[in-house]
Formats: sequence, C-alpha cells, structure tokens
Amino acid sequence: MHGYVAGRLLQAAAALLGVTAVAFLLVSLSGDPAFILLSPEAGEEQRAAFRKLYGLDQPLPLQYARYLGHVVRGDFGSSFAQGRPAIVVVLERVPATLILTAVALALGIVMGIPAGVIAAVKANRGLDRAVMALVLLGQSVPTFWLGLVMIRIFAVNLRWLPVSGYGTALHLAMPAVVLALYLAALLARVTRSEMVEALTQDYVRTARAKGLSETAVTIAHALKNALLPIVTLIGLQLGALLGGAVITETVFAWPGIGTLVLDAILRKDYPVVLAAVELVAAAFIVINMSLDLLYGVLDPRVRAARA
Amino acid sequence: MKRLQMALIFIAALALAAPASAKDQWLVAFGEEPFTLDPAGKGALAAVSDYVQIHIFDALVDFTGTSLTLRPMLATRWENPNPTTWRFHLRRDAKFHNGDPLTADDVKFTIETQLANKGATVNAYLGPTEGARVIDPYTVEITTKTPFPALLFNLSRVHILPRAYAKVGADAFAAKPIGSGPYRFAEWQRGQRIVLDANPDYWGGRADPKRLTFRFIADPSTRAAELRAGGVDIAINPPIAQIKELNAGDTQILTIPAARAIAYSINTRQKPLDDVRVRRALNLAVDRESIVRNLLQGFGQATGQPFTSGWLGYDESIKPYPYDVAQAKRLLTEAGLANGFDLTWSISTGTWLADKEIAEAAAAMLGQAGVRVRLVPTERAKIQKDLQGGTFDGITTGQWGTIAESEIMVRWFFRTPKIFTPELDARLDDLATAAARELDRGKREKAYQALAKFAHDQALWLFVYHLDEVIAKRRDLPWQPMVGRGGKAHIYYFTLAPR
Repeated sequence: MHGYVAGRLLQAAAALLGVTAVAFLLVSLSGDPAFILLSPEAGEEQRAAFRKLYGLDQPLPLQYARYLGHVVRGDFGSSFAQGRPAIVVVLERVPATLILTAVALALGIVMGIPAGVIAAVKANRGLDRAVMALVLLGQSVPTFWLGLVMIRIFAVNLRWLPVSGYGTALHLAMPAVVLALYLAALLARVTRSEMVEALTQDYVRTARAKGLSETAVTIAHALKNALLPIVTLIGLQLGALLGGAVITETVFAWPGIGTLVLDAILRKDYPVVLAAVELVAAAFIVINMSLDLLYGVLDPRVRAARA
Repeated sequence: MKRLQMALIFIAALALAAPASAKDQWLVAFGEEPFTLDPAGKGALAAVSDYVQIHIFDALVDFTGTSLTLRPMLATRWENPNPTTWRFHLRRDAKFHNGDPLTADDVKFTIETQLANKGATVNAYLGPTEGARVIDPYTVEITTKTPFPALLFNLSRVHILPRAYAKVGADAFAAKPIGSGPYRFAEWQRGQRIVLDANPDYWGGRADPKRLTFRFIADPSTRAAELRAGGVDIAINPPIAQIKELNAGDTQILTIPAARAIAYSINTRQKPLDDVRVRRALNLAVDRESIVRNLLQGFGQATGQPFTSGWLGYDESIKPYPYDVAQAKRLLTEAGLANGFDLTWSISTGTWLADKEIAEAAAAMLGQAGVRVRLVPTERAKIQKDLQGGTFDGITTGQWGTIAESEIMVRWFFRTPKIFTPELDARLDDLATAAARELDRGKREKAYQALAKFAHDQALWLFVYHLDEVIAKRRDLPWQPMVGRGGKAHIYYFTLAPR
C-alpha cells in the first residue's frame, strides 16, 4: 500500500511538471504582453523596459528554467497587470469558486442520481421518457442562454434575485442552479444506463428471490454496484468546476477562478494564468488520487488487486 | 405582538426609504476591471485603470467637454518662459486625502517618479521631458530636451502623487491610494467592485454623489440586465442588439459621437498597394454610409481622415471618398489590375462594436470591384506588433480613442510603423515633425490638418468610419457624459456638476 501511494505521488509530481511546461510554452507563444499591458501610447522604449523588468527579453528556455526555480521555492512571480504576487491574485478568487462548485455539485447530485434511478426502474415507460426528455434538454441548452433567460425572468421581470454579483445566498442561486441543471442531466443519464444494466444482473435476481423489498434491491444492491462510474464522473466534473465555470461565472459576474483566468489570458498576464493552471492541476490530481482510494472502499476487488 | 408589529413597520420603512436615498450612491458598470489604482504602477494600461483613477487623483490641467477644452486643474495658470520650459502656478487650497498640502514638491516628485518608471505607459506621455524644478512652494517648472507642445495635454494624464508615496511604498499605496481628487478610495473587492467616497475637503467642493461604486461585469447582456433591474445606474457599452429596448422606459441611451478612430492601415511597401491608384480604388469601392447605417445602427460616422472631431488636426473640409465602384474598377485597370488582385486583411473580432461584421461587409464590397479579400482574424497583441514592425500583408486593423492632442497617435500610425514607401515616409516625417515641434496651437492644428489631407489624398488607410461611444443609464439619473482628461472613449467623470 505504501509503495502504491509513493508511486502515485511520483506520478502526481511528473504530471504537475508536465502541465507547467505545456502551460508555459502555450502562454509564451501566445503573444507579447508588452503590446497589451502597455497602451499604444507607449513607444518601443517603454515596451523594451517592460520586457526587461519581467525578464521577457531573455531566451525562452532560460525564462522557463528561472520560472521553475522560483516556483519550486513557492514564488509564482508578480502579476504583470497588478504588480501583486500572482498566487495571491489567484487565491483570493478561490472561495467564490469553491462555494459555487460545492453548491452546484450538491444540487446536481441530489437532483440527478434519484432521477436516473427512477428512470431506470421505470425503464421505457412514461416516467422514464419524461425524465430522459428533461435530461436531453438539460444537456443541450447552452449555459449562457439559460443564464440570460433566468436573469430575464427572475431578476429583471420578477425582481426576486439580483442579476449578478457575489456576496449573499441570493447571488448564488442562479449560477448554482444553472450549473446544477447541467450536472444533474449528466448524472441522471449515466445513473440510468448503469442502473438499467445492474438491474438485469444475477445478484439482483438473487436478492429479489430472497424476498427483499424492491427499494432495498434497487438501492442496496443495484445502486451500490452502479456507483463506481458515477463517482468517477462526479470526480471529473468536480475537477472541471474547480477550474472555474467560465461561461456561468462570466454571465453572472461571479468573481471566481474562471473569470480571473479568462481575464488574465486576454490581458496576457502570464504569471496569473500559470499560477491558476498549476493550482487547478494540483486540485485535479488530488481529486483523482482520492477517487482511486475511494474505488477501494467501494469495490473490494480493487482493494485486493492493490494489496 | 405590538413590538413585532413595530419592528415590521420599521423594517418596511427602511426598505421604502432605501431607494430614495440610493442616489447618494451611483453604481457604474464597466466591462473591464482596472489593473491597479497606483498611477506609478508597472505597465498600468492607461484607459482601463484611468476611468477610476481620475476620480481619486488630480492632474495639473484637464481637457473636458465634447470639444475637449483645456481647463485649469491643480495649475491655475502656466506659461512658457522659453520653448523648452513650462512654468506652472499651482492652486494653494489643494490637499491630499491624508491631509498633506499639495505643493510644487509633489509635482516634482511625480514627474521624477514617472520619468524613472520606464516600463509604463505613463512614461511615454513625458516624451523628451528632462525634469522638474521647484521655484517656490506653489510654482514648478518642467523642462524638456526639445520643444514638446503636446506636453500640456499629456500632463492631463499624469496624476499627481503625494511625496508620501515614497514613505508608504508602492505596494501599500496600490492597496490604499492617496490622491487629491474629488473621491477617496474606500474599498476594492477584486473581481467585483471598487468603492469611492466623496472627499469633503476637495478644493472644488464636495462632489455629488456621496459614494461612487464601479462594478465589473464582463458580459454586455448582464450589464444591460443590471441596468434594467436597477442594480446599476450606468452601464458602459451595452449590447447593440438591445439599444432600442434600452432607450425606452426607465432606461436611456447616451452617445459620445466619434469617440474612436478605426484605422485600417495599408502596407504601402507591398505590391500593388504601393500604387496610390490602387489604394484610392479600395477607398472608392466601400459603401461606408451603408455600413454605418446598417451595421452600426447609426452609432458612427463615415470618414475620409484619420482624426475625429475634437482632435487636433480634424478637418471638416476633408470629405469621405464617394462610393463609386465603376471609378474603382477604372483605377485598378489603369494600374494594370483589370482582373483584380488578392488582398489580405487582418481583423479583430468582437473587440469593437460589429468589427468583424463590418470587415466582412467591406470585403464583399471590395469583391464587387474585383479585389479578392481574405480576412484573417488576428489576436490583438499580434495586430499591434505587426503594425509597428510592418509584418502584415495588405491591411490591418487598429483603433485610437479620440484625444485632444495628436502627437502620440500620429507617432503610432504614421511614424513608427514600417509600412510606408521611402517617399511617403520622408513626407510623413516632414509633416509630423513640423506639427510636433510647433508651440502655437493654431499653427499646430494647421500642420496636423496638412497631415490629415496627405493621408486622405494618398489613401494611407482604408478609411471607413469613426465609432461612437454608447452608454446606457437609468433615465432618472441626472448625469450627462462628461469627458475627463481629454479621453472621449472610456474616461468620464461620474459626478453631477461640472467642476
């Protein structure tokens, strides 16, 4: 088991290094920040001084080596635009992203999994068709459109909720629901197909033959066995959400990681982009490792294979 | 029970009272968040940060109003003892927000700080400035290496810092800026809002509203929705598709005409664009009136010159090229291009109002004259770099917000880009240098008009339109767009009365 964990940690470090290299290369090739962060009023003299200030006049491999050297010591550099440490700029946006992710994910699970189970139990009957029609709708409606429609109805016409911004539960309601609807649709679809398959398995027939109630059979036997791919999907979606739900955040002016990174990319504020990418990559890796450990809990066969 | 009733009544009264007192605070929604509130910050992009900074900081002089009129600000009067010296007499009642009086030493400190701030936009405003000298506490002299008449305008963009800046340190200053302006910094919630409070000790009297809050809402539709729901009082750049809807009921549309020049620079070093007949043919083949009417819904002006109205060098008598496809074809035939030619055009997409749609329409019109246009969507930094280095094919897309002076814009579009044939370059150098050195504003205007005429006659741009700035506001908000610090596009005072 220790060997297993150590191996995973090594893999994680390699993955982080790879992410950093690719991200650094991509941002460096995407254009000269001196032309964006300085107004055209500035001349070549000012642009040259700016590049020198941030070491952008150095050859790329040297820039990368320097950057890595600093990052290893926990220094992610200064934001080109704001002059403040890049990691501070990123971290102050984490709470907004975390709360949106947590609430959206919880809502999505609460709506999606039961909907999928019900659809599977009633497979190919009226209720199933209705649920699956909603799922199709939920997955195909573009989030920005849904967001704008909700703003129109609940904020502009009914005035129940604030249009955009951050700070109270009311502000959270619309962005969380927009994200949750998409997640719920995704989860319902996967849950349904996994459950339909599980319900035809031998152990379900055995459980029924033992005289267990239909609820117990569905939840304790079928759902438990169907859970593995669902948990994987939740983990993947969690990772994606932590990277910032760019469109939803933009529509609702939510001050999360997504809007920050989008802004930083447009402004060519590379240290902020890189710090955010590395932070999100680290979160992704942690989630994946936790999922792997969770598989062991959920599935005894996985535990046995690792021992 | 009685108590509960009382409490409920009290709460209801509060709720009712809130909208009435809401006008003590104005909320203004912008799409972009400032980079920094430190005027001496590194690489602080002028326009994006200035729209907040001008409320916190004063400059020596100001240019305001639709005709960008020069007004005293911290300097009550000024003179040129000689062509390279500017002597400013400061007002005696200006104080910084920390209580320090604003004196000549602060002006000297500001000039010296920004002269050393080589990697920032504001450094370019100082041009050939040498330094500053304190004559007495309220008199300061700024000297330049060569005559630099644009300095007066440029100084309207140089916010005066307190000497305390050095003591406080750049980081702490950026976190809590100290200016001498009508508003004091209160709070910055990153990604959300900046809050400013009116300065009761302002030399111009306390400004209205008492509180000014800037909100950052990237999506134009969301800005419009906030305005309609009453969440903000002013929304900058609302979506053009909703203009009609926003110009009715509780909300209203305001425009600042010709706030931006849209520049389609032609690379005259390339064949066949080195031939003036070909460049004129391009200008004749575009129906700019139809573009302005249909694609901009009237929020722009058809043009035939680089400058917009209000800009030094704008010449009313220069009319747009007529729309004349037959004449365009004749000129192309004369130039030996009876079968037309292939033309590349680097365009921006979604940066300016309808920019992509306009380029597509113009490309189709050019096609009617036999010019086969290939549009290449290009990223902003590359567009700028390519213009300066002359490393683009055909035509590229630029823009400049209207300002009172022309030196800096002429440099960007007509002096530094390596896109002119030697003959054109020599002529432009003569025209631009003559204009930049002339101290007399009337003569300088004539000199820039000569440059505008030359650019028109030589068809150095594909001249199409100048763009209006569009702002939506709550109808009951007593605000008119007031241009500040000479920038028609983006920089406005969000206060009630002109100072």
